[in-house]
Amino acid sequence: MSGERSMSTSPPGLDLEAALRDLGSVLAAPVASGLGERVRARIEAEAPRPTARWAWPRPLRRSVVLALVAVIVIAAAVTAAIGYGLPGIRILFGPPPSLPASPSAPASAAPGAGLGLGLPMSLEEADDAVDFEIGLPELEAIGPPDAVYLAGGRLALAWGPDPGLPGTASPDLGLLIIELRATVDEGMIEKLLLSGTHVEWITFDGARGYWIDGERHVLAYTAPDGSRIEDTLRQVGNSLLWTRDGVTYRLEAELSRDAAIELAESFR
Amino acid sequence: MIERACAGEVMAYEELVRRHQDVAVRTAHLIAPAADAEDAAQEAFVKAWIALPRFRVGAPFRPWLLRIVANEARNRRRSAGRREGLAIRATADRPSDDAAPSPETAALVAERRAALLEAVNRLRDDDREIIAARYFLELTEAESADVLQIPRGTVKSRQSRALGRLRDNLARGDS
Repeated sequence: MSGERSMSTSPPGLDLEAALRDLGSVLAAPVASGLGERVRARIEAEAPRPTARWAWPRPLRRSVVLALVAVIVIAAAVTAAIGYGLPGIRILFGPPPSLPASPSAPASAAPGAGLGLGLPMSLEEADDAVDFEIGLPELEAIGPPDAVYLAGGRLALAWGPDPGLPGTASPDLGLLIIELRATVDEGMIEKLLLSGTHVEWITFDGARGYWIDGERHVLAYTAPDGSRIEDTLRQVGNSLLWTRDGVTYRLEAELSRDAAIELAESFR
Repeated sequence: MIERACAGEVMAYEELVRRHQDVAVRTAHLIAPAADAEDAAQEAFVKAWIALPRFRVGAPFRPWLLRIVANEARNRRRSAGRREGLAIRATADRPSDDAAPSPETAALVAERRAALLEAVNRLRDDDREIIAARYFLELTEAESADVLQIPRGTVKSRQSRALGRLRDNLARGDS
């Protein structure tokens, strides 16, 4: 014990804890300001990051889903009455997100690098990380993706420019596919229609979705828990969106509607 | 918000950063006073984003985040060292909680705080960390265990050991 003399300048033993709490209330703390913006800018700029080990449970029903998907595809693209909101996907209009200009990726960079698509990884790693079956197009002209990224549960498959690929609004991308677990939700399509963008409601192979062309737009989805996932990282041009088994796929390419659907039907 | 961030929504994560930036910077500063706390916190937030898929949704987010912050700060403490004048400091003239103290009382309070702070700064790193966690950050015992990566049962004993050494420091400071 510190003894009697300490009473004048330091608290008696029993009050030490109270004195520490009091001290805590007057400690100088460096001011934290604008960390949110700076952290987001760094995430979006895709500074090289160590590979994280993902620990999401592997789906048990992978083989079942695979079998379902492998069922013969029936093309049934239907242009539906416009004005009905398709549950599952919300499409928002708004000013482009304030992205920092993507630093021009070096020539050797993987397709999609610098677009803020997420953490680069192999297809096998991504397969372990997501809780759904990754869909891949199986057309002769399209091989495996050149780069795979994951940001949270959002998977991005990127192909570099290639004569056999449709091409996208980004010169360094021949094809981009986004896949994420997103569930059913109402609404938002009206905004798209009000803006004059061409939207078609399509169904094929048991999947329902949208074909959107023209205006670049920001997309938003609804997570399984009902919360909204706004994909502010990237505005897309022509795109086909479809939802199947709780997973939404987005195909971004300079394709006609029918060609996009044909590509989507090839997904395995 | 956390679920949305886990699902890859950067805007949601930005909001999470905004909500936790103060406690993160404070934690970094308390663990490594000589390092740039804001820079350490920023680095920790980027690392936390990468690690977010490993975060168990439903678990408390704050201790999970602060553990990453604490690790980052410890790494920086090793390289920054503990230089004189870069210890934890108190604000210059923050009034006491008591309403309108007399100048004499205010001076006495300030003197007492300064002595206590000086004694805290002389503690070993692990003692100072537990004091900071429990009294300055006011984390619970369970949170402190998570953030400092020590067994929960160890928090109490380490805390009382640190308080004992702090009392010793105070006694020595007075003599």
